[in-house]
Amino acid sequence: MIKFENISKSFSGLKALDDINLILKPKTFNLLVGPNASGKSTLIKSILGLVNVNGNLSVENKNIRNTFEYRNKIGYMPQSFSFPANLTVNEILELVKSLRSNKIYDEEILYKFQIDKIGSKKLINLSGGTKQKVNAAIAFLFDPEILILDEPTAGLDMISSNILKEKLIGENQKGKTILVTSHVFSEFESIAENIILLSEGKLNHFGLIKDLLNLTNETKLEKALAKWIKMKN
Amino acid sequence: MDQNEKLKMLFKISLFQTKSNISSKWIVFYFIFFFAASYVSLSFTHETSKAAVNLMNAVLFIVPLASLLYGTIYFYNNIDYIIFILSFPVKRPVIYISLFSGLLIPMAIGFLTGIILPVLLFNANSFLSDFYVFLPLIITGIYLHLIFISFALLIAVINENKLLGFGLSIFIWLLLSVIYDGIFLIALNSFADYPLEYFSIILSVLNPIDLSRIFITINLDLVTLMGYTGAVFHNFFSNIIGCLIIFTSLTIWVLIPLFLGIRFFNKKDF
Amino acid sequence: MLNLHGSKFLIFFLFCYVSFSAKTVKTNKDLQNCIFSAQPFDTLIITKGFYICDSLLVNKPLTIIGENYPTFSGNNKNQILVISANQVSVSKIKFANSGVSFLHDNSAIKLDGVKDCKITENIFDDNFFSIYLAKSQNCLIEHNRIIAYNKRQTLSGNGIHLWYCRNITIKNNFIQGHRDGIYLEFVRNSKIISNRSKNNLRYGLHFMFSDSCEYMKNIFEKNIAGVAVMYSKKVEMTENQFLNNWGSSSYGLLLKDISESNIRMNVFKKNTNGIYFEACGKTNIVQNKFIENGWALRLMANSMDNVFRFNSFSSNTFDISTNSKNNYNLFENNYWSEYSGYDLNKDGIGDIPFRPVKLFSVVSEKNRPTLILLNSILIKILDIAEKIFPSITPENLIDNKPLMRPTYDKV
Repeated sequence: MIKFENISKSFSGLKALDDINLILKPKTFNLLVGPNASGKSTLIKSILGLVNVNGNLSVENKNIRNTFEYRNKIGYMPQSFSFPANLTVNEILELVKSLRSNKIYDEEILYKFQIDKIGSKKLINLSGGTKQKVNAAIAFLFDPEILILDEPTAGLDMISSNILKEKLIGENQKGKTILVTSHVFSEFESIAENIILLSEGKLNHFGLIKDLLNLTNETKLEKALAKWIKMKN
Repeated sequence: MDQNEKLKMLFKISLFQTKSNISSKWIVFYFIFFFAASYVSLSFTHETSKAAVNLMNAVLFIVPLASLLYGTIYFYNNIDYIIFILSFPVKRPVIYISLFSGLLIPMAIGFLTGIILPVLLFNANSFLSDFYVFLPLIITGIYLHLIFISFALLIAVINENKLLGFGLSIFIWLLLSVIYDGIFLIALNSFADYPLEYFSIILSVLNPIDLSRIFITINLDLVTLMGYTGAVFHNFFSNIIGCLIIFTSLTIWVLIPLFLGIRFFNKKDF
Repeated sequence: MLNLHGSKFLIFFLFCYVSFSAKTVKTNKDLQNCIFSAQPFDTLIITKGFYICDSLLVNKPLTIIGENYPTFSGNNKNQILVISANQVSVSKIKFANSGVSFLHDNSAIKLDGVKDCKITENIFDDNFFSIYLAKSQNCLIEHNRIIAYNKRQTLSGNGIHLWYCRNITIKNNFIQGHRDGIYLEFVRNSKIISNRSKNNLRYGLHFMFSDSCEYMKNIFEKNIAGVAVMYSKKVEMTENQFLNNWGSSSYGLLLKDISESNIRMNVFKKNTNGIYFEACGKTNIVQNKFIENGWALRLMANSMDNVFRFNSFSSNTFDISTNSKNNYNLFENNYWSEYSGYDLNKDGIGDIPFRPVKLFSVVSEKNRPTLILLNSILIKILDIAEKIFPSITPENLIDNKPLMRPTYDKV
């Protein structure tokens, strides 16, 4: 469970997050959406402790301020993924493994993406898509209870995208809490449960996707959201 | 996370960064530069101490500049990697120290092998005595790496703007290696009628590059040229207390930017 | 001033074994009596032993030879041997412990107003003055080994001290630890050849008011100044080596009020100051080598009409320093290791002139504490800037025909 209580953050006077109150319950699959600069990445980074926010932010009922152990429970797939030049994929895997106390690995997606076969290649020589696969594989590697994925399908081909989505559904069914951002709503509208809509740092809407569709009388999330924003205004 | 675990992580991250840096073309270039400088100065003169004087200029000039620029560039270019590592359950100071040593180790290796290999090539028999002559140079070289890499990281941590960071790096380098001495020279000339020995000792303790230069100079016996000033200097710096002051001062120069860097890094929003 | 007649009697009873036949006297007892009873031109052979002497007076021409180096001791308070006759020769004796006396300039051997004496192959150990010549002529001092141990200049005399002398030859001696190794005052036409003078408390060789003298092939090492030549003219300085005279105010060769002299083919290596010129004129400085000195030459403003030719300057911290904006000396055909010009017509002479005075040497000459910035990047930059746009360094201190190589075949 991730709980936001009165979370605010501003960067040099501009409010990136404005009084967010939100509870992501265990085992839920949440889709985080919002226009550019609406605070999506700040919200994600605040969970990971990358930005320091005002208010109470707790993961599994523990305030995360000044702690880092809780991050053992989180798998994170950042939007842009890079490692120092000249390191091979295997070396990167070895490095990240040494940084977590968890020693049981979920390597399913590693094999499905056939990353084991490019282990000796340098990351810098890989294509953007292949890099993204390594990125995703690391997020799942430690079998974490919470998965946070920032634009996970960006740069992936259809097949890999589907492998990733199937993996996400499977993990969700196993009881993992999932938070995903995507600007392509169709990617996740059928598999996500909740929608979080941010606009200008404020929580505009939070609830079941199902409910939002019903409320707006639409079948597609994209249109439903457009309508919802209009209705609110 | 117990102390042991922390050290293990620190070691691991530093190791991988060293691995990554050591084959970087800049570090290879860095090695080649010092190799060439050492080789050329040894081939120009048969006297190791003379070669050490020539090399000293290269060391005092290049090491701070290269450390500052390479350090800031490294931080900016690897910001995504740093953010990613920060999302792992690792304390921030551990990551910061790893970043620091991951820069220091490859640069220091490039520097040391570059300086020492030619000594070995020229005269393997007298290697130990030649090495002894080079030792003050090597020690201060390492200190300059420590000082200016920690400055580089501090600058990069407090400036998200790359250009500003570079500018600040070059400014700090210019300030400590040229402008400071310019002001020093002007001050010495304006107050020429006063006894300036202790004044100049204080001024040079306050600048790590001057301090390094003086430490090397004293050990190469050039200090006698300084006449009376030299005598005061020699008395001040060449005994145990003087050495302690030099190294305490150099160490403070490492620790201040390092601690400031850690402080800002701990509070930084990525 | 000499303590001739006040000489006290010796402690020992007198015993001499005299062999009248050969005019050779062998003795091991009372020396003074022996000398009294000897005939002029006798040879005295002193057998090995320890003789305590107090101003032992030699007042007739004698040859005094030690057998296996007998020791003549001044017992730390006396003058040892006083020679007041011509044609005295002293050799193979060890003189030790002439006491410190400022009143009498206590010395191991004092020659006063004599001619044609020879002091050869003796050992001098821990004396105040070792060999003292006053108003003497045509003497030879050769192959002596002179060592003293005092640490303070004020408690130490000179190794070989000449005062109002002419035609003295000082050759092949080794001198160490005195105030001045060799000291000349009001001396004329004397030669100092192949001596080695090191670790003296002041100067290796010191000239005062001594004209027309010559010193060559000597080695001066680790003194405050290798040689100091003051208030003299027509001094020939040839093929000497000035080595390691290294200290906060040390000099290889210190010149003060010198004129019409020649400094040729000497080597100056590792001295804080190679040559220091003060009020020095009409002197030729030719074919010398200056290697690894702090300042190879320090030329004070009152020095003029000197000629510097065919010298080679290599690896000195400063080649020349001066306190003047003008130069009245000639620099030509010298080799400068810092010269970076070219020689298109291959005549061995660089095509662009060389300015040997760096900006920093002018700055530091005026303000010594600035030397703390020696070797700093700022100074390198300033030196380069000054080379391109000269403003502080003397405009006419310039070598218009610098040599490309240190040795010059056409010399």
